[in-house]
Amino acid sequence: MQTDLAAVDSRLVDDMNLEDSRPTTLIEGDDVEEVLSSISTVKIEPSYPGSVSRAVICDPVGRTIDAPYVVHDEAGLILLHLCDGKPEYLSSIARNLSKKGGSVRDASLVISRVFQDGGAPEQGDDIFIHSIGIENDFKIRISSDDEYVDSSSPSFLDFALAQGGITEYHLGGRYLPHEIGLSEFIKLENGCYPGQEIHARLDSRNPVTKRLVRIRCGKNLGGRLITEDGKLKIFTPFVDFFAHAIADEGVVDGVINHKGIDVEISTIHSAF
Amino acid sequence: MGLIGGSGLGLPMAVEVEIVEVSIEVTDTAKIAIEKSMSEDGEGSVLVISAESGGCSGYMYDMKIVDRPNEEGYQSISVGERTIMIHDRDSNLLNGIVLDYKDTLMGGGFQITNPNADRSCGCGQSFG
Repeated sequence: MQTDLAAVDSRLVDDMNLEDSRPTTLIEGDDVEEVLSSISTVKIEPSYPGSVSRAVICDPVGRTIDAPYVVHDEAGLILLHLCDGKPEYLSSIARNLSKKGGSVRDASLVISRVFQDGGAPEQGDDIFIHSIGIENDFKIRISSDDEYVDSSSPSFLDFALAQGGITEYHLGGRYLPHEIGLSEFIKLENGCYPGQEIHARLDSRNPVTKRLVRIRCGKNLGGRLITEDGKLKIFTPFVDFFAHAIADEGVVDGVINHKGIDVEISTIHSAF
Repeated sequence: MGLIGGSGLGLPMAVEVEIVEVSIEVTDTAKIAIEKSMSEDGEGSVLVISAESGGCSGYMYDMKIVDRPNEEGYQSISVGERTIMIHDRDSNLLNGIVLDYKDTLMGGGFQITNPNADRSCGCGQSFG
């Protein structure tokens, strides 16, 4: 059976205001950037309020636990977590900060984050992270109110799988950052951090060549997909024609025909 | 003003750090090494052992000889004529440690065995 990919609905997202309800944390106190950098794959430099950085937190064997956006605020650093629950590494941060009077606080109720179309109007003091998604067509709006929220459609999982977002399927210590579209945030010059030994060894001896791809097809494929150019390990469910997979180096972007079904493969260069 | 309005102190705590009464064991060789290391320091000097976030396993040990901290929040342990201090915030991570000293050319120096550590780094300075 031939599936016409053009007919596959890539969903209607006009005027989308999709709430991201994952936890948000404020870390505040002296040397807060230094404390976060000590466990992140990338150094977080002090910056002006409103600017946005990105941290990646791994376990000691180099697998990804979280990859929060970091909003620099007058009150401290606001971590927009990508994991569903409150991550354990906050205990380590809290311990260090509290020795100098700092703390780790739950900011989920005062900060909202919403995925929007790239062209949606911008006003006020809100903060925007632009050019996210496979076609760079979306942005994240971060604000201290919730007047923009409409979480009805599409669901977060729909959106993340269609546009290259990180979900709970990517985290939990399952994959290296390199394998889930976070290679650009591995900075070995940051020094020692959990997982750094593994990342350094990979960098010098066995560079990671696998990469995160989005799969789009009209049928729910599962498990492993073998092509002429290499294998794809599908590790998320298919939701509305989309899923994510980790692809061998040889797998190229484009449409392949797998047992009579058209399958579109697109590299996710920078997962959000 | 920023998103949180200048101060986040009104927000609920996300993580509370547990505080316990610390008990540590210091071997005889470690006691001698502490005395030797602090021989030129005055009576007001103390050895502070702490656990900082970072390292390859999540936490890193740190040992410093400093003037006795004025601020509250430290627990004191007497070792002969000297005092070891541990911050309350590190108490549940460092409670029960054994402080030893190995006089070897490679990998020598103070060694910490920590019953609270699920894993530790080969260098012995990091644990988690």
